[in-house]
Amino acid sequence: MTLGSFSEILAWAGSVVKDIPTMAFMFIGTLMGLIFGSLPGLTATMGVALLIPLTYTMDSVTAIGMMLCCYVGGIAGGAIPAVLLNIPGTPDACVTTMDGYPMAQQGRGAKALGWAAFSSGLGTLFSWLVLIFGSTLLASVCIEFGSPEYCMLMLFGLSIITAVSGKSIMKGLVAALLGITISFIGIDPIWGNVRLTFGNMNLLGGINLMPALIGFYSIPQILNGCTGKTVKAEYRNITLRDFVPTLKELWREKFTIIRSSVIGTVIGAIPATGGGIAAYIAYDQTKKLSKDPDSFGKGNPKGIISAEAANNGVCGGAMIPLLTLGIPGDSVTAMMLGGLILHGLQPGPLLFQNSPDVVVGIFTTILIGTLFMVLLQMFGIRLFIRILSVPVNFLSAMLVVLSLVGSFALNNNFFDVIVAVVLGLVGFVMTKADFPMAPAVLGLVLGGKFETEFRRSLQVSRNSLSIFWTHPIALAFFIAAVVMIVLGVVMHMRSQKRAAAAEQSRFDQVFGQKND
Amino acid sequence: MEKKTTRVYELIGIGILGGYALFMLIYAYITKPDMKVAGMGSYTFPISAYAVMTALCVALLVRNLMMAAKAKKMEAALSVKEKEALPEEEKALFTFEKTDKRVWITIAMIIGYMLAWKLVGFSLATLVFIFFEAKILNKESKWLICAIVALGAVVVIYLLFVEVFSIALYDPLMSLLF
Repeated sequence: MTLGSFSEILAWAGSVVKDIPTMAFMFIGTLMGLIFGSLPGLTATMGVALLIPLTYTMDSVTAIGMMLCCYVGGIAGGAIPAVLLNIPGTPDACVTTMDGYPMAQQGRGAKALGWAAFSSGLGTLFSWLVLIFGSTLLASVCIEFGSPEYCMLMLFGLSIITAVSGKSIMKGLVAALLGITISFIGIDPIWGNVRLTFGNMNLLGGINLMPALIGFYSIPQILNGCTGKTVKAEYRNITLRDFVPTLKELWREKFTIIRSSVIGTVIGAIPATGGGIAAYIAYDQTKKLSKDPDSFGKGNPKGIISAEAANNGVCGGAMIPLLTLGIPGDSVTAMMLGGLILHGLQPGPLLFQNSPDVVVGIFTTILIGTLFMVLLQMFGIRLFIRILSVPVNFLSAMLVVLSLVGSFALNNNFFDVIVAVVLGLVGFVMTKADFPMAPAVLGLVLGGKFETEFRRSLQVSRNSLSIFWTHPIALAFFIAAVVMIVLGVVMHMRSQKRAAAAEQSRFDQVFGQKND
Repeated sequence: MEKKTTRVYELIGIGILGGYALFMLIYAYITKPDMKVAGMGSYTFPISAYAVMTALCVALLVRNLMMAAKAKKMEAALSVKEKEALPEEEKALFTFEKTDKRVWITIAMIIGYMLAWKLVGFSLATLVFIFFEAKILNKESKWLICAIVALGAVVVIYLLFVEVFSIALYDPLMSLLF
C-alpha cells in the first residue's frame, strides 16, 4: 500500500489545512463530539450517526474529517463530567472517574482536566502515527484473531477486576458478577434460546450498556451529592497554567503515556473491542508498575493519564482495520464505513491505491481534530469548571433529567429509563456499602462477550480446551491474565496487610490507652 | 474494620445482591430448556455465575455478621464517657450515620418523575420535577428562581434533544408549541 511521493502527501495534507470551510466543519465536528461526550447518555456513535445525513453534500475528506473529529472529541469529552462530577460521559471514561474525581475534590480539577485533555491528545497522536506507519503490519496480526483469541482477550480484561476492586476483592467479585449476569439476559448468542427475560419483550435484546452505566454511575453520584456535601473545591481565577501540564511533568509521565497509548492502539485495532477495555487494561498496568499503587483511586494523575491515553489511542487504532481491510472495529467505525461508502469510497487495500489523496486527507483530519480537541478544552476550561459553581440543588435536578433523557435517547425506549432508575437505586446502596462500581461495568462489557467466544471456541474445537493453548496469541493472553490475577491478588493482600497494621496501631493508641 | 453505617448498608446490599442471585439461580434452573446440545448449553454460564455470586454473598454475610459482633464487643467494653471521647474515625465504628432525608425524598421524586413522564409527557413532568427538586434540596432557593431555572431547562433540553437530535420524547404539551 503506497500513498505517493512525499511532496504529493504534503500537498494533499496542505490542501486540507488551507481549506477554510473544511477546517470550520472539523472544528464544529470536534465541538459537537466534546458536547456529546460530556453529556451522559449521548455517545460519539450517536454524534457520528447524526452527522452522516448532514454530510451528504460535502466532499469526502470534509465529511469523513468532520465525523472523525466528532469521534475524537466524543471519546475525550467523556472525561469532563467524569472528573468534575464523577459521572462518566461515555462508557470509555469510567476509569477516568477513579482518580479524576478525587483530584477535583482536592481542588485539582483543572489539573485533572488538563491531564485528561493532553493524555487524550497524545494517545490519539500516537495511534495516528501507528495508523500512518504501521497499519499494514498491525492489521495483518489483528485479522488473525478468532474466537479463542477473543475469548482470552476478554479473560485478560476480566483479570483487571482485582485492580479495580478497591478495599475488598470479594465485593469487587460480587459487583463484577452482577455486571456479568446482567450481560447474560436476552437471546443466547449461540443457540438462540431466550434467557432470563421473564417473557418481557424489552429484555430480548439484553440490557443496554448506556442505561446500565447511567444507573451505576450517575444516579448514585447524584444521590450522594445532592445534599451539597461532596462539592468542596474552590475554583476561582483558573489560569492556563493550572490546566496545562508542564514539559517536566509530561516528561516524567512519558512511559505511562507511551504504554497506555500502545495498549489503546493495539486494542483499538482488534475489531469489536473498544476504548473501555483499553482504559481498564492501561490503568491496571500503570497501577501494577507504579511504586505507589495505593495512591491509585485517591487522585493519582497517572490513573487519568493511563485511562485517557488508552481510550483515545483506540481512535487511531480502530481506523486501522477499517481503512486497510474494510472491517469496522466498533460501532463508530461502522458508522464511518457507511459514511465512506456513501461518498463512493470502498475501504480496503484498494483505497490506498485508488484514492491516496482521500487517505492522506483522512490522516490529516485526525491530527487536526486532535489539535482542536486539546485547544477547545484548553480554552473551554473556565466554562467547564463553572459546572461546579452551579448550586447543587439545580445541578442535581438537571443531572437527573439529563441522565434519564440520555438513557431514553439511545433507543427511544422508555424501558431503558426504568433500567437506569432500578440499577441506579441498586448502585446507590452498593456505593453506600463500599461495593466498587468499576467491576460491575467491566463485567457488563466483557461478560457476555467472554461467554460467547468461549462457547464458540469449544464448538470449533469439539469441546476440547486445547484450542486455547494451541493458538499462540490466545495462550499469550491466557498467561498474561493468570499473571495479572496473581499479581493483583498479591498486591491487594500486601496493601490490605499495610492497612490492617495501620488500623491496629491506631486501635492500640485509642483503645489501648483505656486498657492501660 | 468498617464503619457501622457501611456495615448496615453492606447488609442491605448483600440482601439485594444475594437475593437477586438466588432468585435468578432458581429461575434459570426452572426455565432451563430441556434439550441436549453439543457443547455448552445456554444456561451453563448463567447458572454457574449465579451460584458463585450467591456463595460469595453468603461469605460476605458471614464476614459482615462477624465484624458486627466484634464491633459490639468492642463497644461493650467502653463506657458512655469513653465512647464520647473517642476520635470521630473510631466513633464511626459504633454509630450509624443517618442518611439525609432529602436523599430519600430525591429517590421518591426520581421514581415519581419517571412515572409522570410516561403519564403527562416530558415537559410538564420535567418542569414540575426540577422546580420541586431544587426547592426541596435547598429551601432557601427563591420560588421565582426555581421556576425560571425549571422553565429554562425544559426549553433548552427539549430544543436540544427533540429539535436538534431528533429524539422522539413523548411530549403532548411541547408538540403543541413547536
